[in-house]
Amino acid sequence: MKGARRIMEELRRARVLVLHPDDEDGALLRDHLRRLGCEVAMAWPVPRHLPEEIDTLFVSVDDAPVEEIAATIEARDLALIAIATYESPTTLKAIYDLNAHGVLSKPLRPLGILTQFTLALYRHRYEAQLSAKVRKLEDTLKGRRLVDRAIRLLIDVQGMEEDAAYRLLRDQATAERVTLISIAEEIVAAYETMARLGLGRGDSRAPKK
Amino acid sequence: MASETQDGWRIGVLFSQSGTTHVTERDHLRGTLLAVEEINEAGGVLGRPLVPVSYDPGAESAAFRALARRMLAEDEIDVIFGCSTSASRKAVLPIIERYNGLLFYPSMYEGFEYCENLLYTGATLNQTCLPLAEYLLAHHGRRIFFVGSDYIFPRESNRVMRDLIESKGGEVAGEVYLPLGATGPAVEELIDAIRIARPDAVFSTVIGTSAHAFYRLYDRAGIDRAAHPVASLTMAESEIAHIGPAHCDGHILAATYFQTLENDANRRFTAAYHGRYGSAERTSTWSEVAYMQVHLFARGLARVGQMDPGRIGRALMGEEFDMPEGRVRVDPETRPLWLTPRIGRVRADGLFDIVWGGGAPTRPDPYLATTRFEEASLREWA
Repeated sequence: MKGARRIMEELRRARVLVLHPDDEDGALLRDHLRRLGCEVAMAWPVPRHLPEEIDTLFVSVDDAPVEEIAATIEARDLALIAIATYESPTTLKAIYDLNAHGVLSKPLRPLGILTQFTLALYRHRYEAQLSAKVRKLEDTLKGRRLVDRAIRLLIDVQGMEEDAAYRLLRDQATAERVTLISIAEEIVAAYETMARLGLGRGDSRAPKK
Repeated sequence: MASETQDGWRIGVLFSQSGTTHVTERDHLRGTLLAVEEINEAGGVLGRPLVPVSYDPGAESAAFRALARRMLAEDEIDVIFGCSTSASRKAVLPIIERYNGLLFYPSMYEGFEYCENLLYTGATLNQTCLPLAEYLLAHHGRRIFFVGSDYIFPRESNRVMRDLIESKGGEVAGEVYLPLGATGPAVEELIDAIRIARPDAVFSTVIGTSAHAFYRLYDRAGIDRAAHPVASLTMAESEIAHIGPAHCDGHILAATYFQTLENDANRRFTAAYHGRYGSAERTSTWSEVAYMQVHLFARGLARVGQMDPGRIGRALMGEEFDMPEGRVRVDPETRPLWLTPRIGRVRADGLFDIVWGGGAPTRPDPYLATTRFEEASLREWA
């Protein structure tokens, strides 16, 4: 399925909860989301816990304290669209604190809901992609430091050439079918143990703990 | 004028009598005025006549917007019948919303819009494209060439049609857009592109004078229309007559109304139309829908008893009407109408043979929320 149609399909797969009073604006939003073909639930006041299946939240930020909303959301990974009536600093801060991916202004009208909904899902997904990438890069970086340290130990303590030290690590990792990093981790741990027992040679740094 | 103005119900009429869409908008105007005259001859609404105030926007979106504002802000008109293209509707929509008026929009359109200040009386894409895609693949082949005028209705309609054709096993043989109103070399280049691609059929959302030029050049290029027709959602009886039926026979139209429909309401409508505008004139999906929506409005107004756009709109939700195109119903969830899909082929006299017809009105699906692209609509809707 291609671009434009896929966007609509994604919107329809979203499990939406609207945290908004069931007034004219709330009904307009619920009806329009249903018109788009989405499954929508409504709740008000802000419940203490969100249903498990919810992945998209429209939430009125002027009608409830932001701490209360934040407590409900907790660590849930949600696409969040704030519904705001004012542009007061308090409202702006709420949008900021809740890390809203989209904003709708009241009084609501049908035009714009689809746009903010699409934008929020896209930004939420993109944010998740970026976070995953950052985590992966951090892990890689940590591993890289460990490998460097293991090679340094092999050079200093065993008197190996840098290339040979690297090859040793790599071949061992291949032979044991584990990552380069875990071999490096073992070597570093082994030398640290030796050093702690006073058996080290060359690496004279104090034991870590 | 003054006394009539005070006594009658003033309504705005906003269709172009010049510009690229002059043929279809003239149909809109004619259908609208015919219905107004009928209603007035029958005693008006609650004893008061409808008083149309009509301006000519000349097929310019900016003029549509300015004239709609004049009607709502200065002429103190609350209800407008108007706009023939999605471009003009989109231009007028914010004004209608701001003044809280009501616009009756009579053209087929691309959906993905919902506004409580509008009533959409033309076909939605699911009502036309779904059976048409199947029909083209079944009768003409799987390689379809897409053309359109460059604005929102053709772009969106072609996108949906492309998805439909592909999901049913067809293939896009090419896709070209013409600037609105283009008639010269751009159309000739388009014909060349089609000749080179040799598609089994063409799906066209080219409108207005560009479409007239396109159909004429398609004929001049000598492409066999019986085997490889152009299928459209808009090229109805009046435009075929304007181009000349000899240049058009064999082409296909997916619409909800054809002059050749057999029923009493249509016989009355076509007789009245011929009586009013001349027996050589053709009714079409343009004039009929425009005619229909004035009758819808009149019923809503009679029920509400005052010119209250919001209440008139709400009064029509869920209502059913017997119209020249058959039974229609206003969908209360999405606002367009339940209409009966049909496919027609231009014959030698410029009218249409209805080669396939739905058995009942089909629900409008402007957001394509419930439409299954795989649905065998030709069989299941017949």
